[in-house]
Amino acid sequence: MRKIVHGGVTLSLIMLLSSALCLFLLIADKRLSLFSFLSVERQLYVTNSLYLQTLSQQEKQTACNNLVIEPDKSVQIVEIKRSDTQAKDAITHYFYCKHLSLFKMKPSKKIHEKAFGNYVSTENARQYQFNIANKILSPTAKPQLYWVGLSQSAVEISGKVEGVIIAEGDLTLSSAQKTHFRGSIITGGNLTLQNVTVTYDKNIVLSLFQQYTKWQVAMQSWRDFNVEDIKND
Amino acid sequence: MWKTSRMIRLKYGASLISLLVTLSIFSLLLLSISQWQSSQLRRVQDIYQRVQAVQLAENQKQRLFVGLPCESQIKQNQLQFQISCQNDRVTVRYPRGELKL
Repeated sequence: MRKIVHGGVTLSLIMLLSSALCLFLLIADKRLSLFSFLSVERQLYVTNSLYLQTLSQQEKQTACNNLVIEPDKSVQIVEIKRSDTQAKDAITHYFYCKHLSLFKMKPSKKIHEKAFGNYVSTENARQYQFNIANKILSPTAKPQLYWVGLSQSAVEISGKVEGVIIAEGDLTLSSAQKTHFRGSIITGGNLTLQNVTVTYDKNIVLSLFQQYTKWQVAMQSWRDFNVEDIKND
Repeated sequence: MWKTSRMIRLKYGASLISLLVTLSIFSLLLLSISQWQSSQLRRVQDIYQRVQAVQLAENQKQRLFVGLPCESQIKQNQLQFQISCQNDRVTVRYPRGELKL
């Protein structure tokens, strides 16, 4: 009994040494778990972001189509994320949707003479397929937008026509009998009316204004982070 | 005088048995610690290789995404990585395991 007690100094020295070693290894173990966790996390992130990358590529064209047109909002952010995740912090990709409107502003009068540039965006006009106005406009069930190119300057109407007429240059609107046109007329040059009276119709103009407005993915707007978050930070 | 002090020293020093017991405990501890350390080393290698494999797999996926062909073998950091691509799946085999993405 006594002998063991006397050898205890060596033993406790060894114990001290090995417990120091153990402590060191424990710390190393903790660090290892951290790095192992990080690598798993990284793998998960890569898997998800690659999936989202292809998804964004596919939805690029259609991402903005389902948005509701709001007159006072010109930019909206669309999120793209896995449909099977409920997690709030799931990886998300973002698109910016830009308002693409034919009209720079809503026509507010029956006649906007020499105001083509103020009301119509030629840049956005290329996006739309117009029914280029025929020589003779006839009544239709729904109000129409009539686009009169520079090459044409005389248009005839027969009956009561509703809609919006946009003329890039001069326009002569004539009719065989007295008739009237409801909606609005925008011209780049002079407007001459023959036998035609024009009345402004708010509903017709509004419906066409909304019809020729759509959301489109803004160029180079794909992000894998949310700009709003960065602003808030 | 000499004899007595020697006697005392012998008496207070560790005996052969206690020395052996201490040594065996020490060697047991050392053995387990070295075992632990080598398992840690293996984990380090695992992580090191897996991180590289993830990176390689991601690169291959991006290559496929932009329409480039898949690479079949890559050697980096004295490690050999075998890569095979089937349809959209990329498999990277590395010395300590395999990764599918």
